[in-house]
This record gives sequence, C-alpha cells and structure tokens, in this order.
Amino acid sequence: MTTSTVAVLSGLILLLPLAGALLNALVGWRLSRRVVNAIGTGSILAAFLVACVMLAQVVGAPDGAKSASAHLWQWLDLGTGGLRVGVDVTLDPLSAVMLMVITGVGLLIHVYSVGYMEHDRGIARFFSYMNLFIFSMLVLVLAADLLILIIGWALVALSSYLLIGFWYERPSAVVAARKAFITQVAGDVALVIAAFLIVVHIGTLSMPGIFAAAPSFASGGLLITVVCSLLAIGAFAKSAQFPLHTWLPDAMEGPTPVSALIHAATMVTAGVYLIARFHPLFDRAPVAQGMVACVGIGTAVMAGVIALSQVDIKRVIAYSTMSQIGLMIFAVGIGAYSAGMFHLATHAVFKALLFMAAGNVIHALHDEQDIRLMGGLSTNLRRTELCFLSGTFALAGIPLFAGFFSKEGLLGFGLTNGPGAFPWVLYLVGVGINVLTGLYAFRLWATVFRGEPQTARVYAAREAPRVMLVPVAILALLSAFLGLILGVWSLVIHDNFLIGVFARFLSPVFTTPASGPLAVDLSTGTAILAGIVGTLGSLLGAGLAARIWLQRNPDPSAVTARLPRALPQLAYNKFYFDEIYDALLVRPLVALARAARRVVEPRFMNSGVQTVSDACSELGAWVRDYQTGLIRDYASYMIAAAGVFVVATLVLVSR
Amino acid sequence: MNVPWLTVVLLLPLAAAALLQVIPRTAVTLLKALTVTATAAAAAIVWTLVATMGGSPHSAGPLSFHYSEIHQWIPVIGATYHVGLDGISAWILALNAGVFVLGAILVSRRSTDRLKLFCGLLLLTETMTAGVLLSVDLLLFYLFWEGMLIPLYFLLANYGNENRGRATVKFIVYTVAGSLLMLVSILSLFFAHGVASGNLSFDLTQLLGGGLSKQPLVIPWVNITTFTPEQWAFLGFAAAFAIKIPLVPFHTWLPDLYESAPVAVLVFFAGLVSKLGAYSFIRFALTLFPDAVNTFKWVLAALAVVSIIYGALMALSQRDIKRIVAYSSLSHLGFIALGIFTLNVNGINGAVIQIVNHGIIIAALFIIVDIIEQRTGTRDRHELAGLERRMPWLYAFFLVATLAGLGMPGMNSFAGEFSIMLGAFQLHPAYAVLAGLGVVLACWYMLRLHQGVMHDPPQPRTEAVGDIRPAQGLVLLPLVGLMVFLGVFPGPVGDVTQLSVKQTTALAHGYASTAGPNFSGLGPVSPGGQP
Repeated sequence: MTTSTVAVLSGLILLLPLAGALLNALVGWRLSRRVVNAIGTGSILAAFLVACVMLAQVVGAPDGAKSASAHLWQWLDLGTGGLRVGVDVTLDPLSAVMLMVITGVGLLIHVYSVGYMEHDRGIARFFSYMNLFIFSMLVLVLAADLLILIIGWALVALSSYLLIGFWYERPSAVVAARKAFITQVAGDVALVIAAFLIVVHIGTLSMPGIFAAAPSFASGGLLITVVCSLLAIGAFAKSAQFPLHTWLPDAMEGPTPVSALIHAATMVTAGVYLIARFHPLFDRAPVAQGMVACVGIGTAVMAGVIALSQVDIKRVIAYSTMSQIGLMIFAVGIGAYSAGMFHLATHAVFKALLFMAAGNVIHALHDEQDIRLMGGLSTNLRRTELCFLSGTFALAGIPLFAGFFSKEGLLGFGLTNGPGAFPWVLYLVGVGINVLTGLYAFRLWATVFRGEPQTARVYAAREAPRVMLVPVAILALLSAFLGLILGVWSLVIHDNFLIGVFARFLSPVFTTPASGPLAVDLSTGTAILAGIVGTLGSLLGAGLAARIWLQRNPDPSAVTARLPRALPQLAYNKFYFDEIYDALLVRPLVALARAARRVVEPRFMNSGVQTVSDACSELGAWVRDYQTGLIRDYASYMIAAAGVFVVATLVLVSR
Repeated sequence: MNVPWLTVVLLLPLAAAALLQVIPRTAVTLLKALTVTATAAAAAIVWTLVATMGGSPHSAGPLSFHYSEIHQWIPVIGATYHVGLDGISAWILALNAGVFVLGAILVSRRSTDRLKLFCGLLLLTETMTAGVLLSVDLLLFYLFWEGMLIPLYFLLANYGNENRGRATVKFIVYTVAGSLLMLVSILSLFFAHGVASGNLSFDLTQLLGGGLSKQPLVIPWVNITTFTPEQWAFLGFAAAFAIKIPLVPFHTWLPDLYESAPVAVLVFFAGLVSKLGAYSFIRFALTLFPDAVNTFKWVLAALAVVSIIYGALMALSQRDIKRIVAYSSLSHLGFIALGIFTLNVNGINGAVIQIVNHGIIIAALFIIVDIIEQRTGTRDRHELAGLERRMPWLYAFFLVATLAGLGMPGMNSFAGEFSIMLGAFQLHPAYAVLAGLGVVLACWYMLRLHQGVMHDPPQPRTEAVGDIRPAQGLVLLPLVGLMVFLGVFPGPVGDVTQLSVKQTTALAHGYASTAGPNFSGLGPVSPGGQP
C-alpha cells in the first residue's frame, strides 16, 4: 500500500460523490428524472467499488504496514510558530471499515430513495444533498489532520441540516433542521477548542503526530482529561447523546431514506468513530473515559425507556438508535474499541434496514406514521414484514442474528475489562438494556404488523415496488447472517468464535493492550456466562413483548400505563429536555438580545454620540443663520467683536 | 522596466475621475464604461502585482516591503512620499481593487440620479483607500485617511434612503473626532523623534520604536500619575481605529449608516473601508507602540470579544434583514480585531485573512439583501418567507454566503476564524471560549435569516417574484466561488501574509530585527509582554 495509491484512491472516492452532488445541483433541474437518479446512485456505486478496492488494499497489505497516509495539498502554513495544516488522508483498517459502511449502506439507501422519492419534484436537490453527505462523511473518516476532520465533521452536519429541512415549506422541518445544526455547531466549538489545546501542547494538528506525541500528556492529568472531555462533547453532539440528544427525534422530519442514512447508519455513529480514532488520547484519560461510558449507558437506558412510550414509528426507531449508539459510546468509553466498532457496523445494517422497512410502511399508508393506526400489515406487506423482522431480531440481539454478536461482545467485554469497581453494575444495567431493547423492538413489530388492522387504510396498503424492496432484502440477509458469517470465518482461520476476525482486522489500529483482540477475554468462563445471561435478558424482553402485544388489538402503551403516571408522562415528553433548554438557554438569550436592542443600544451606546452629532448639525444650522451675505450684518459682527475685545483687554490690563 | 506600479495604482482612478469631468452627463453609457474600465484596469494591475510578489520582501529593515517607492515631498519637515506594499497590505489591496469593480458594476446596472457625480466620487474613494493601504509615511497616511472622508461624505449624503443625512453626520463627526486624536499622536511622535534623533521624519520605518517617553506622565499640582506619553499617543491611534473598525461601544454609526446607504456604496464601504481601521492598527499601532500595545491588549481583546457577542445579540433581535447583516458585520469585525490584539502570529495572520474573507462575504450579503428588497419591496423578516421555490439560484448563492458568514468549516471564513481563535486561545483560553459563543450565536441568527427568507410557505409579498437575472448571477458567482475556493485553498493567502506578519509581530513585541524572537512551538506564553 503505497502513498500514491492511497492518494489516488482517496482522491477518487472523494471526488465521485462530490461530482455527483455538483452535477445534480447545477444541471439536475434540466435533466430527466432517470438521469438524475443515475447520477445520484451511480456516483455512490462507483465510490463503493473504490471502497472495495481500498478494503482489499488494507487486507492485502502485510502485517505492520496496514496503515498509510498521503498528503494531498497544504491547506495553510503560517510559518514558524504558526498554524500548519495539510490536507492529509489515512487509509487503515478503521477507515476501511467506515468506508465500507458508508458507501455500502449508503449505496443501498440511494437505490431505495429512487423509489421512495419517486413523486417528489425536488429529486435533483435530494440526490445532490445525499451525495454531498456521503462526500462529507468520507472526508471525516479519511482525514489525517484534526482540522480536516473538523471540516468533514461540520460538512456532515450541513448536509444533515439540508436534508432534515428538505421539505422546506413545512415549518416544523425548518425548525428541526436549524435545531440540529446549532446543536452540531456547539459540538464543533468543543472540538475546535480541543484542537487548540492539542496544538498548543503538542504543536501539531496532524493526527499521526498527535497520537505519536500522546505520551507527552501526563496520564490522567487535567490537560488530557479536558481535551478528551471536549472531544467527547463533540462526539455527544454528533451522536445524539445526553445532554445534546434532543435534535435527533426532531430530525425525523426529513424524508425516511435520510433518517436511514444519516440518523441511523452513518452520521450519528461518527461520535463513536471519533472516540475510537482518538483512543491513544482516551486511553490516557480514565476520568474522561468513565464519563463517556456513563453518558453512553445512561443515554442507552433513557432512550430505551422513551422508545417504549413513543407512538410514531420513526421516532421509536430514532430513540432505539439513540439507545444503541449509547451502547457503542459505552463500549468505546470502557476501551472496547473493536467491539464498539463492530456494533457500529452491524447496527448500520439492521437500523438502516428498520428505517427503510418503516419507510415502506409509511409509503404504503400514504405518510401515516402513528403506530396506533396500523396493525395487521403482515397480510399486505408480507415481504416488508419479513425484512423488518430480521432487523427486529438483530436489534433485540436474538442469538445468531448480527446484533447478538456485537452486543453480547461489548457487554461481555464490559464485564471482564470494565473500569474500576463498577463492571458488575454497568453490566447489570447492560442486561437491563437488553430486556428493554427486546421489549420496544418487538412492541413495534407486533403493533405495526400483527393484530387486527386499526384503520381502513391498512386494507388498501400495497407492497412497495421492487426498487425499494431489494435494498431492504439485501440488508435483511446481512442482518441475519453477517455475524454468523464473520463468526464462522473467524472459527475457520483463528479457531475463535464471536467477533475474533473483526477485532483482529482492527487490531493494528487499537494496539494498546486494553483494546486488543477480544477473543482472549471472551473464551473465559466469566465471559461465556456473561453472554448467556445477557442473551437471556434479550430473550426475556422479546418474550414479554410477545406476551403483551401479540394480540388482536394491542395497546402500544400497555407497559407504560402500568407504571406510576409521572414516569410515562416524563418519557413521552422526552423528559422535558426541550423545555429545559428553552428556559435555560434560548429564552434568556432572546431576552438579552431584546434588552440590548431596546435599552442598551439606544440609551447607553448611542445617546451620547447621537447628541453630539445632532449638536454639530444644529450648531451648523445656527451659525448658518448669521451667514446672511449682507455687508451690514458682517460689519455689525465686526464692531461687536471689536467691542468685546477692547472691553476684555481693558479688564485684564486693569487687574 | 521600472514602472512605479504603486503610483500607477494610486493615480489611475484619480485620472479616470478627472477624465469623467470632460464627458457630458448625458453620455451615460460612456460614463459607466469608463468607470468600470478604470476600476477593472486598477484591479488587473493590483492582482498581477499580488500574484507575482512572491515570498520574501525586496527591501531590508525590520519592516520591509515587496514593492516600495520613496520620493521627497515636503523636505523642510521631512515628509516623504513613501508608499509600500507588503504581505499584509497585498491581499487587502487586492480586495480593495475588487470591491470597487463590484461597486462600479452595481452602479452601472441601476439607473442612478447624478450618475456622473457618483462615478467620480467612487473613483476618488478608491484612490484614497488605496493610499491608506500603501502609505508608509504617517503624514501621507493621515492625508489619505482624512481625504477618504470627503468623497465618502458626498456619496453617503447624496445617495441612499431618507435617513441618510443624520446617519452620515454621525459617522463623519465621530470619525473626524477620532482622527484628530490620531493627528495629535502623530505630531507628538514626530516631535519626540525629532528631538531625540535630530532629524525630522514622518516615515514609519524611521519612527519604529517610538522615541516617546515611557515614564508615566504626572499631572502637576494634583499629582495624579497617568499613562506614559507613549501610551497616550497609542490611545490616540487606538481611538481613531476603534471608531473606524468599529469596536463596541464606538459602533453606533455603523448600523444606521449601513441601513441607509445604497448597495453600490455598501460593497466597498462595508467590504473595505471599515477594514481600514483594522489594517491601520496592524500597520501603525502595533509597530509604533509595542509597550503600550502589550499593556492594553487585554482590554482591547476584551472589547473585541464584547463586540463579537454584542453584535451577535443585536443581530438576533433585528427584524430588518439589512440591519441583521449590518450587526453581523459588527460581530465579525470583532473577530478581526480580536485577532490583531492577540499579538501573535496566528491571530494577526487570521485577522488579515479574515479581512479579505469578510470583505467578500459582506459584499455578497448586501447584494443579496438588496436583490430581495428590490423584488419583494420589503426588508422585514416577518413579511419574507418561501423564496426558495421562486428563486432557486438566489437560494443557492444565499446559502453559500450564509454558511460562509457563520464560519462554516470548509468555507473561507473558517480559515481566518480558526487562526484568530487559536491566537486568542494562546493569549488566554477565555477569549477563545467566549468567541466560540459568538460562533454559535452567528449560526443561530444567520440560519434564521436564511431560513426565514427562503423557507416556510410563501407570504403575500413573496408569492409572485421571479429568480435573479443571469447578470445578477454573474456578479454573485465570483464572490460565492471565492468563498468556497478560499475555504479549500486558503494557503496562498497565508503564504503571502505570513512573512510580513512575522516582522510585525516581532516589532509588536519590541524586537526590532527581522530575525525576530524564537517562537518555539506554539506555547501558550507568547514571548514578551505577558505579565
């Protein structure tokens, strides 16, 4: 894997989606729908092929040479003592995995969009934004300089903003888009300040440079803790983690393929990638790691509870996404980087699948999203249901489905390698999350597809066209067999089941002992026991859900109705986070701004200046009155002035 | 061939203005053509000079220039015609040339009363602002600095909306007051230098390091110790520049003036004239008064941060979209000022880069606001909505300008703001954190502006408007293109600025040699000055 290969391949994979975005943006309105679709999906298909070549390059590279960087051009160079930033890219196992997820899942979602957006007149704009998103995401994962990563990070937020607000004549979509973007910008600022701390301490923003110099941070010291906490805040904003999570449910205002691509598979997992990428720093900041792990697992619980109380099909999946990302954040917080990344990959598959299958349902019911008005869809949407079920099994972690391997892997790691004295506590919370996941996953499936139709519209529902079914089916197969295939493969080549092959592939990146191949830990008795208990938790949740909701007229609020009233109320209103932010941040700022305009500016800033300037004008006007142009007036002024002068002189002399 | 290009740049618009006077006022096409040609020719020369100036300066000394010309002017007091172009002035001069071309094009596309007067004043302003950017002699600088106000006064007082009279008087009175303080400072420098060295000079390169006493001045009888003479002189300069930039609380001329001025004036007024304060601060205040600058940098940087946040809050509370852009400009000029007062390489480079970037952005924003006002007849945010479907091209241009305006990474302003904030962080982390709050607020008001105008269901006034004409698109295209291009490739700007900024930074820290201090790494403690 030579530098020039990396440069060429990276250039190619970045330029393809960018070219697609520009083409559709500039001339898309003149082209036929068919050509627009071809440009939009074709560019991603080409990028996917390049990504496959890049993966092959990494796999084929000899051990110890799995990572290569290339310098594309110098972004800024302010000389001695100044900022120096190059547009550099890195190809290594971690970025290769991300490339595959982004372009692979992205490609399927683009194909699906052709069908989903069939009747929308803004199709060129849509594909232009989608391609821009893929481009931004690729910048983010290929970047080898923190500043370039920040650029990709922000571009991702931009394309998310554009896509959430895609239906721009809907006021709710417009507000949701802005909220998402501002939250992201707050995260960006945290990243930027982390970058300042790093560059002031180390003197470079180049990521290989930062990682090489990581030992110069005192382990567990204040500086590294602050740096990592700021990085984590950036990650939380992007990954919708507590307390920066409120934008994600609102982001469901975007078209469903957008939710699948951005708010499930790729963008929201970028926070996990960021922490995994900066693991040499996080490994030296146990306090920040602990914070990350707690926020992750806390968000997982909170979002799981909320998911159970929501009745909008997309919002249920959105909260389940938040919950699953919480698990990934937990994993990278405890140093289980490979496990977190594995869950990221499988989650991208099954969550994109769930969103797209939900999209089929919404499409079939003409934009109905309320699960209380569904039910009984299995007769008309048989194929969609099968796919949805595959995703539900994977999400709930039913054995042998993809999610099972990744989730049990990270929980097991948490038990055996977790931080300090708390692994048992965190693990038990994890098992609780398993139960919760099983509950809300099967609740959704049962209320949407099973039971009796709740409205007449269900009878008229028609199965989605092939262009929307095939991508979903491919993902369904992957979510059913991906874990199994990888597991058997690792059994064959490494005689280790579970996530061995994936962890081994990533091991050149995560070289620190705490994050090495997991197989070692997972073969112990404790780990196996942990896996069994965790699986039992998942099955318990699924079984309970089946008992509660597998009936003719399931009540979506069956569980929440039994709890004390305050709790479901709290959960349904998303714990009132929107209101809290509104009261704590938005309103005071608006009030401050209004006070500035009404009081500070006119009374304090302007009054004096305005008075002086008006006085000048008035003085001029007053003096002008004496400029009559008449000799006799001027003569009298002279005589008067002379008189004053004489008198004044006499008075002064006489003293 | 040894052509005095800097003089050519100075005299070309002046000559064109003179030539205009022999053209009858009815020959409208000829008037327009001459104005556009003259500004374009000046731009071509300047851009060629900047593009070919290369890395290292040609003249020697602690403050050296890539191009310079020096002639005797008033020998008896040692005043010289000394003009020079270095890495700091280069890109700003290029911006200067560009915004005047833009102004000329805009005025030629609109039927304007008293067109001949307008064109003449525009060309005269260009000579004056170029003079401010090129002067190395303080007296010459002062001449251009004050001379600039004459054509500007007539432009602002004669063209624009009905509130222009009051706004213009406020601006002129305010600016002249500041300038007079600066004149006192220039004269005291001149005399102190004359007494100390025995030779009279207004030349910046001669006056470096001052010569003013650094002993605190004691007021007789009451025995109150005040600032040193050097500090007093610095404050005179600072007052003039702070009013011109402007910094809160010296800003109140800005929103009224921007609101009343016509767009053809605004592109060069907001795009360039307001940056001359920032430029002059770097050129004169930092190099002439190193000790005073280091004493006052904390306060000045704090004022800059206040400007950032105050401007953002004011922008947030406006209904008039032109005033929103005006206050956003105040906020962004605060960033530029913050960069200067950091006194380090990153901050000052960022400030110079941002002067150029912001000139491009603000010109585009004012043009867009003007188009919207022309089409819909209103600038009230509450009456505007849903333009995206009607004006898809304007939507796209406005989107890019908005993103550049809010400091989006990947757009031009990010390079400048990142460097500035890094510099501020090196001065003290609190400045960078507070400036970061300004970034978030900018995101809020800029997005609300863009979305409010473009999205949501259309309002009565926005029902039946058509998209921009191709010619308007051609005016906006280069601006928007530059926003993206300079975001992806900010390197060329930095390459030109960094050597000259290094010299200025060294001078600002009191090291009068090109070798400069050793900035080892990017350590938080900048050499010299930090208590």
